[in-house]
Amino acid sequence: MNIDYFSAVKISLEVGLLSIVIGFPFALFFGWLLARKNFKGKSFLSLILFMPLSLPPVVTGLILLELLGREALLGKYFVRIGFPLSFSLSASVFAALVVGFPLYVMMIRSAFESADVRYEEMAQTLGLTPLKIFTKVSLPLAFPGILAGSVIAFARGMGEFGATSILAGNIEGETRTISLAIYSLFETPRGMEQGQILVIFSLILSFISLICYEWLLKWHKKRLDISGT
Amino acid sequence: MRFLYLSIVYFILSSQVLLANTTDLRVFAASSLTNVLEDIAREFKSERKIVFNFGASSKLAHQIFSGAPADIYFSADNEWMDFLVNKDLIEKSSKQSLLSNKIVLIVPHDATEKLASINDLQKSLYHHIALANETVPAGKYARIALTEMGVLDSDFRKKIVNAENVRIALTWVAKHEAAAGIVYATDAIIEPKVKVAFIFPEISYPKIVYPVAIIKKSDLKNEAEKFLAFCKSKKAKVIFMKAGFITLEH
Repeated sequence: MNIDYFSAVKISLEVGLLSIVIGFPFALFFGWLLARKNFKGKSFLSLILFMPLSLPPVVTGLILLELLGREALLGKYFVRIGFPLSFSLSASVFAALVVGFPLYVMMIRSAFESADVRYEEMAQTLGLTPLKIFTKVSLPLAFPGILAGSVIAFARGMGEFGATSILAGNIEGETRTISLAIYSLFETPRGMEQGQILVIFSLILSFISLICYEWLLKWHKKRLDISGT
Repeated sequence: MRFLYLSIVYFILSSQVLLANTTDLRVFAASSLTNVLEDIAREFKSERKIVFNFGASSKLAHQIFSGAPADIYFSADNEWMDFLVNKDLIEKSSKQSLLSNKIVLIVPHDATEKLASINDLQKSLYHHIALANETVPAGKYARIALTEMGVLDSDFRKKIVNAENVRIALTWVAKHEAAAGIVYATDAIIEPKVKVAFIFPEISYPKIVYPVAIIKKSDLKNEAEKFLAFCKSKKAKVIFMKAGFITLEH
């Protein structure tokens, strides 16, 4: 069995990056909403948002297939506009996004929550519009924490396996990420000897992600310490 | 006092997890045997409980190689059985080929287009063709058969989507994600949303055999032998045949 290591790594990075970039505005909105607002149905909303975290990824994959497949509820509209989702890079990105989203929102929520709400209240008394308060006060305060959340969502999305393999398949050069490539090699006798490079590469990637995450969190804490107390 | 009670509960619960029950007969079997072996175990009269671990033959072989407590290994091809034989983990005298299977081309049950010959698959109507991964036995057989039939050119390759296992390929066809797919005859039987459009001639791919053997480290060899003997009984053969398997005579 021949595996194109380079393309597997490239696709993994693409999937991870695209999923956090596309998910960013949504994660930011929901993270802020859950941290700063109280409204009816809040617990229900967080229940829906965090569902993929507790569902087995395979179930998430099957639900996505049910929603986004060729003849499914939403999927048929994608087909109609000439953009069938299943078995494409977009499908991998989508699966990674959905599975990584709960972590993304959780991290952004706690980034907003850890910033003192009094700054926002102060800004309000000074007559700033809610949008200004968000862009000038809340966002800068929470920024490192938000980035840290993105890094975690990136790492989770990049390694996604269960939902991805159902919605996107395992197509060399298109949807075969590092995780899928390693799994394929695992299924061939003596395949794991070939797969070692990929295993080492995953270790390196996860190591880098976690270092970035730790560093960003430290930055976040430091920044709040300076602005607070 | 409360601490003591909690400790006892903790101890009992964790010991349940840590100490695998060794009195059950553990059968590691290829996923394509899932439903049928459960039916057979139900008929098997024994004081021992039979526990199954179903999965890809490759995964199971790796698990046994790493010391998983298995008594019987049912593989979907010889390659993985040989892998364990070479590692000296198999009771060689117990090794036998019990079952055979066929591969078929399936389409969604409501497909209207009739497939006159296998070459029709090259039409654009068949946008995606679902196969099991080339590393899984079902995927390997499918590719050999397609090559033998002379349809596996580069355009055709682009339409292939690989599933992690043959049951996912089955789901893709049932849900119209793929317009056609190649699965085992036994898989096609259990899914009402697909129909068989073409049966591959037996000469187009190597004979599919399911080798089975007892694991050398098993503590329950007698019981394992009894179960294998039962799998060869008339009663079991009827169950296998109903599920679409071909039983091999000895």
